[in-house]
Amino acid sequence: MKAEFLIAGDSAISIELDQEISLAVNAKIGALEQAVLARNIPGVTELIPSYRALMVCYDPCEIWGEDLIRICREITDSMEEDLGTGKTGRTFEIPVLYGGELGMDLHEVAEHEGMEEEELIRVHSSYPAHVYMFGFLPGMGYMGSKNGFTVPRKKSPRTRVEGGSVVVWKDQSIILPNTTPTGWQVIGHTPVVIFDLKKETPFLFQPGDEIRFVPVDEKTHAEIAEQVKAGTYRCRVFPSAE
Amino acid sequence: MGIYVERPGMLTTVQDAGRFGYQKYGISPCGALDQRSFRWANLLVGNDARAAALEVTVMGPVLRFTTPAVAAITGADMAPTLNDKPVGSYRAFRAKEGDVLKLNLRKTGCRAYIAFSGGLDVPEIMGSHSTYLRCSFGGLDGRALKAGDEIAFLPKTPPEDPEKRVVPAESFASQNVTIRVIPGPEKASFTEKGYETFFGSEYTVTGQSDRQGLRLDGDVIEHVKDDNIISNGIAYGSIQVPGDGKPIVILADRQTTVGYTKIGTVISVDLPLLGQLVPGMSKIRFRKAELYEAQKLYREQEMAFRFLERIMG
Repeated sequence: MKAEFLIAGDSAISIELDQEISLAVNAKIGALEQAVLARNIPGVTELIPSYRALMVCYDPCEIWGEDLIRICREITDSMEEDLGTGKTGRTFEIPVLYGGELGMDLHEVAEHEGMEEEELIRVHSSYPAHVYMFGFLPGMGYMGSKNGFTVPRKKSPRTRVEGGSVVVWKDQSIILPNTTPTGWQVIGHTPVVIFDLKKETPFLFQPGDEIRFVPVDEKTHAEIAEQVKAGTYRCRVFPSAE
Repeated sequence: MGIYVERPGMLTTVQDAGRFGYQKYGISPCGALDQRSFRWANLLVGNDARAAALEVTVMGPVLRFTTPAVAAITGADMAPTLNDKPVGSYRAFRAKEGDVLKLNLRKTGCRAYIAFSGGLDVPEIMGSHSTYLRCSFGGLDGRALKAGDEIAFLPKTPPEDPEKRVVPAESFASQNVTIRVIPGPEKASFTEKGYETFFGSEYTVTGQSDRQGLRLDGDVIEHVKDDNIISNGIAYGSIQVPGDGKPIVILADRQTTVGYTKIGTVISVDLPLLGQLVPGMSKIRFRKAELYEAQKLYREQEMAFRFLERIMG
């Protein structure tokens, strides 16, 4: 597998693949992460996968950077180019109240895409989004689909968007794990909690999972919010369609 | 019990060596920004190197001991006093129940560390006691100390002769600092002129600097094309250069992934210096370093700490 090895200081290297956001490249990163873990290299302290790169953090006392690069190169040399799509085969259903007060950019986004609001909701919710990686905030998954949207970021980022908001940029979507500034377009809100420290598994989904957004009305949104508060809500998870 | 906070100081938080293993989930490592001073403080009071301590920023707290203890202060000089008498840094001292420890306005450096024998008793989250301010968890309820807070010490027999426990002080008197940097990872994104500017200029640490990063002001750094990359992981001490050409040195509370090109990464032994730079005041120059040299320096430092930790106990 073709790969570039970059030095990021004395305690981390970055293994980089093709410059693209795609299932194929992301799948290779997922496989590379597993291969590096399996190799159990002494001194490796942490792995940070992203769209098309894997950062390998290490203790400079336990291993020399050059040796780490040599071992990782052995690993990539032994890997195929075609490693599938990286899908885990699980799809999570996320109920979303689109538009209204909590989805204030819905109209603007629909206008940009040349659609009515209903059509935009239909399109956004009919393409499942693939979780590529986490970053920026705990449990914040970067998800992409083939919905064809081209909408840019906002010219002036908002300083405060509610946790649970569903925000979009081009064909990427993000569910905000908590209240945060963002320049992405806010089109809806889910009452489902995607990052909860109090749970044994704090993260609802993982890279490789799929997210299906399901439009719900205000009443259902409020009911689910109550269940989430009471701790009785269970997110629907099912095997992904082929 | 521990300490009672009479006055919290400007920004005092519970920190330890950091929260590792979860960056892939978007969780910043946090931890003490000056890991060297933090480690000295724990060594002086006989703690494990990773025990939770207080990180004090610019203006210090007033703390009352609610139990006898052994403590030590390192890092920035904030003219500490115990019951209004100077108590000194880089040396352990004994405190009785009711004693009042006061740290004042910084005279040198930016951050001081106060370690207490046993370490601070706060819940461990994902293997660490560090405070994650941006996400409000870890440390003491995910926030800075407030007046009225009480934090207990974990039980541990304190060292017998605290007065004998003294180590050489690191001085932070100079606010013009040279920081060693290994070029990359995105070397190809910068022109030769860009690198000349980066290693040849003096940068000011602006007031918009905090535990997430140091925003620098100075000569603009030239990119080959543009500043964007597909978001990927970032190492502690990496230096991002967005489109405006002004570098940002990434620190402990960083976002775990970024989409801007990175011109270089500060070497590990110089990372603690970054935590002692004062926003709005300090100036930095960068000097080119090499991977092998940087790792050797880190190994030497680590060997020295482990040796002292073993013989001082």
